[in-house]
Amino acid sequence: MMDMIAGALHEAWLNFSAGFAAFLPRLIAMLAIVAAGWIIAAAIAFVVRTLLGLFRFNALADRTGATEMLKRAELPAADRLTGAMVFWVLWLGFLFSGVGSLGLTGMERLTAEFVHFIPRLFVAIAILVAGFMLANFAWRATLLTAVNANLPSARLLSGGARFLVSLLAVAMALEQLGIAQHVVVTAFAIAFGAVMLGLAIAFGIGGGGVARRIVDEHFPETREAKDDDVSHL
Amino acid sequence: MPMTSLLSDEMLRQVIAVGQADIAVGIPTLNHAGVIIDIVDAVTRCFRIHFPRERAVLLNVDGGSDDGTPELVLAPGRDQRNGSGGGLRTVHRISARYAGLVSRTKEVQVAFAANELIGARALAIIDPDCAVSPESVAALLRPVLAEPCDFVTPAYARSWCEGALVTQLLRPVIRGVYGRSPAEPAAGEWACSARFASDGLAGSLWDADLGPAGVSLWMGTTALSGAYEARQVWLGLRPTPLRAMRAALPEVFSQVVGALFRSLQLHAPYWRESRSPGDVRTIGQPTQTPDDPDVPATEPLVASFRSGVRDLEPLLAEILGVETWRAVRALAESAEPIPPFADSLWSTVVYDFAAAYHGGAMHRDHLTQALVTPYLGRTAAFLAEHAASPAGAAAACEALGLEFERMKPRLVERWNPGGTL
Repeated sequence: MMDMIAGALHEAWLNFSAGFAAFLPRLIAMLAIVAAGWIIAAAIAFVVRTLLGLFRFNALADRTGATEMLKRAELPAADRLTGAMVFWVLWLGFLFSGVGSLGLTGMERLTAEFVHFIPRLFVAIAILVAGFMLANFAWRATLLTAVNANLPSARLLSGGARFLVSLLAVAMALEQLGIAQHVVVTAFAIAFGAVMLGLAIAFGIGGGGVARRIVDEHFPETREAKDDDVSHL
Repeated sequence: MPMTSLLSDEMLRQVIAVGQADIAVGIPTLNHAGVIIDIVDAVTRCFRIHFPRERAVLLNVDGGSDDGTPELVLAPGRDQRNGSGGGLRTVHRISARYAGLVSRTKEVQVAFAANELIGARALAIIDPDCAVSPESVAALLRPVLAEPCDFVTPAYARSWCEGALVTQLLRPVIRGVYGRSPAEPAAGEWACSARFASDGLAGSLWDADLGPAGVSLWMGTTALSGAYEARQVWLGLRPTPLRAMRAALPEVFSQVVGALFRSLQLHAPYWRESRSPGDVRTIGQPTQTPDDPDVPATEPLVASFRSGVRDLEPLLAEILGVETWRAVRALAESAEPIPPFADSLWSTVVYDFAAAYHGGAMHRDHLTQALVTPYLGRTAAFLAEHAASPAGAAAACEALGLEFERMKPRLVERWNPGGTL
């Protein structure tokens, strides 16, 4: 009886030893991939941050209004945030590769999904950046037009224009990422009328000068004197 | 771009038919049927009375009028119908539309290109929205023909409270930066030499829609930047507009102030190194300015200034230097009925805007439109200060020009890359 138990234990130990001996190189390989990936990702992120600094990326972010939004969200500066995103995307790629090297069941599918997710992530980021730039442009155009037309609540109008355009960009980015698609689509189906109304108001205010020029060129006799009676030119 | 490609086939055919000329007058038009007959009549009489021996061409560059303006330009004039012509030569008329979007910049470019082919020694550009006389056209052309002169602007007698944008912004900036300024840097009518027009075709702002005043500013500042001789000639009282055409102030700023700032960029290599070269040489004597003008109400301007500074805080704080922004905000929040906008503060505001425009701090139309608010505050202060004693207004404008000259180093400093205050 004791011999049988000892034999079983010995066999189990041999199996475990053989399994561990077979697994250990893969574990070391995974740790090496992850560690090397961390170093490579950190180096590339550093290079990206440096290049962005050289090209005054933060100034561009200031101009487009992205810096202000990042501050509100308590996120780091635009160049540091971009560098961090590059680091995490790269390092996660290495991490999945390393885990894949363990040969665990199901990891190949997870890795493949991650690889397919990366392009969508970059498209979503591009949508967000373009959306924030457009939102900031609409904000400034609406604010200046409203102020120069002596409209009341100029900041409210311009803020509304920026909010609507930003909202549209965020929703498009979320849809691109495939996050809460049904919620996003439903919310937009409900909010579509409100958004269109907001855009119509923003365009009506922001495009007033253009409309005036078009009318002036086609109907010069309808031109009217400005409300103030100062002779400017 | 080759000059022939700027001209439509129709215009090229007419230009070739005319051959060579000594003087030319360009008239840009777009639906000016109501006024064009008087303009053409004045120009034709100018040719016959004042330049009977010169080969003259009237050059109408039309933007696509659908009211028959080109036909009216080419129709026989009053003197021809009456048989009362006095010139020794035939006055040629050219009228054709140009390709592309309607803009005064394009119209002047086409006139320059046509003049290059015609070879006229003097070319005048006439604003069809303002009345002209044969004498005023001749006065613009004559210095170019008679003297070593490349560019002539008119000088008009105006009441002290007219042309606030000219007296408070354009003239002082040009004087401060270039060292001298004509009295009317944005007048729609001016004349230039063949050399100036030929060189001008290589200019870089032809694709921008600068408007009549903006084109004049660009040309005028080009004439002040070293290589040309500029003159101004007194033409009496400022002519009244023939049509009620007053663009909205933000649009005026986009065109005129935008043209000014772009000119500063173009001519930076000149003005950053140059010293004050003196006054623009003036021909003729000034006439008496109109008495007792109606001074515009300043309260609406002040209200717009106060609310504008409050609403535009994020933009103004970004454009202006820290101390300048604090001073402007304090001014807008002051309890004074009309906040006193000092010359020194106004000059720093304008120079900060010019430097921000050069630095690309934001979309350029937005930047020029943001200047409207401080301008209203400054205009209100100027009008209120001199309403009771207009006699001091001219001296105040002179002092403002000197202040802009004194503050020029600030612009030069901020103009440099990374220059912030």
